[in-house]
Amino acid sequence: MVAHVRTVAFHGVEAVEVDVQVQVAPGLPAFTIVGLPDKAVAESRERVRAALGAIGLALPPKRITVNLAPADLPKEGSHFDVPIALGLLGAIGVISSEFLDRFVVVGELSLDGSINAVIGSLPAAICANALGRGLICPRQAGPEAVWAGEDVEVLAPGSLIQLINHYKGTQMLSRPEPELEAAGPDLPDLCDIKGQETAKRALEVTAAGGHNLLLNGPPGAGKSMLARRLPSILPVLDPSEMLEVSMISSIAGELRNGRISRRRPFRDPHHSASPAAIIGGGTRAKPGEVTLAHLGVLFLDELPEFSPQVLEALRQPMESGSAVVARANHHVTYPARFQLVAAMNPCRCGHAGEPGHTCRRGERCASDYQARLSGPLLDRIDLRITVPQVAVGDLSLPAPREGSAQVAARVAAARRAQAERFAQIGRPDLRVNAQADGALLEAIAKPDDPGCKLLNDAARAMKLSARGYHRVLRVARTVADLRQGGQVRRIDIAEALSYRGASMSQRLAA
Amino acid sequence: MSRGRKTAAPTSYRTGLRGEVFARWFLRAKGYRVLARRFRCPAGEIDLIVRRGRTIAFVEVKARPEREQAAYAVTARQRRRIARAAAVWCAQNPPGPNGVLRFDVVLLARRSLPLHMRAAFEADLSPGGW
Repeated sequence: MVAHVRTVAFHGVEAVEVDVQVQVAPGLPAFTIVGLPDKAVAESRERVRAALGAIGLALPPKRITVNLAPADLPKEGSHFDVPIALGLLGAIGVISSEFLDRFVVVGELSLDGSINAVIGSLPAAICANALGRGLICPRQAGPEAVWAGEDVEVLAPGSLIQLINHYKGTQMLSRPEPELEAAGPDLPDLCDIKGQETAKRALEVTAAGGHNLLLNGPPGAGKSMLARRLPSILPVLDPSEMLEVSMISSIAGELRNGRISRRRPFRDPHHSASPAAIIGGGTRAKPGEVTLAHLGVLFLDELPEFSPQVLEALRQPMESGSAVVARANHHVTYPARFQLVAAMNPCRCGHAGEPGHTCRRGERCASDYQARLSGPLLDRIDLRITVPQVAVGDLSLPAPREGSAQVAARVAAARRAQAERFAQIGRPDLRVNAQADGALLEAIAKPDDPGCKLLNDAARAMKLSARGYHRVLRVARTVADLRQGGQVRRIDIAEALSYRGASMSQRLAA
Repeated sequence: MSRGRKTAAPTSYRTGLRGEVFARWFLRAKGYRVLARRFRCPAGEIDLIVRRGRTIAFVEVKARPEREQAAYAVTARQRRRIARAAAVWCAQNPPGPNGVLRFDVVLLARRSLPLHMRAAFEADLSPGGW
């Protein structure tokens, strides 16, 4: 007799259905798992044997074959233990196949028969929903799995014996409660920053339009401080975005206690990160930092200190909004629509361009350091601003009145205006101005006549390239949205031009 | 005291033989019928093949001064050899569709009763195992 149990294998952030077939046949006693299992899956037979022993069942002295179909898809991870154990229980007649047919099963077994947490319960629940089945997952993963929908039946037993009792009807399992991470007040607030009004305004524009931002300034000017306050002015995730972000966190095993958060992710990898850590990859495909920052902020402090490979590898995800990991064994696409916020010093000693400072290595100090950033990368950064040293007088001022809450309200209003506009022109897939390009951008961001004139004059005087021209338009559109102003006006163009950065960026990327 | 040629065989070999005789009588007392003893083929060898009802057991006998030593003496390599030999024996004497096959171990130690471990191990049928 062959018992069937459904489970999933993960391919990118998607869950693919896997059929676990268990056959108990006469013959020399043996326990074999076939169907491209990796080490963790092949070892599951020892855990299954011990767990069944712990609940008082011995494996029958027969030839037990477990097949994981489709047989050509590599199976990784430890979540195959429970499906294999349930398949065995089905094959020896402890659990009926009608019960097993109703569920998709994931979970790892301990030797004592308890079920341990596994990653990816949320995508598994979504896959189960698509198949019209319920989900059996570990108790810790239950709160996360119920986010897949009201109509998905979720069983979250803490041990194998609890599940069998539920099946027999002696101890019913209740549906886990969905849990939201408490929206704690622990985000750093914008009102901690004294002075730096220009930078704060740029941060607001960045948040409103989903643009990328480069902060260039001497050490101690507050670049990192500014960047860390970006999440506090970004709007919270809407339900569909929340699901996307949670699926990624679920795959990466980053959800704490199965709670999902409405906050946008903020990732700040150290500059020693490898390309695989940033983009994703490894012998088993794992999502990288760009994917973990999906719909949130990727903050790269000390941008020129990152290895050139990492910086160049960022170009493609920034352009396409997805990270493609292609290896011999797998070809996976991860979503990666993130906002890049980078901070850097103008030169190695950190103070180039400040009045009264001369680098010991002269002009070369700044030019060599800034040459580490390639033109194509800088080209993709819409706002590039210089953050000067804070004036001593500003530090003694009282804290500014305006905090993150007020700015966040303006940003949310601007984002609503953008979403409405995109919906009107029939592109509901776009969310923010940063995603608009080419003809679409020219249609939505057409300036009034004085604005056109200013833009054309500036393009000639500053030798703007076509891409640079579009960048100014895009930022101007966001500035106008923040003003709730409708058409792009001359003043918006002027502000957008001011975010084009100092001479250094013009030299590298016109 | 002089030794003849027959008694010059290694002591461990004789201990093993004595152990097998002891185990055979022990299993008979438990109701098993001995089908073969010291079954040998190029793939491996089996100390005892016994049967009770539908069950056919391939038995490995281990005699050591201490029981723990006896238990550790059944190595993975030896288990593979027993499994292979069992496959050969099954080909020669088909157990029938209802036959239940089992690998047992009988541990013998000084000053203690023999320990019969039923279904002590399984055939290693993984691709590298054969």
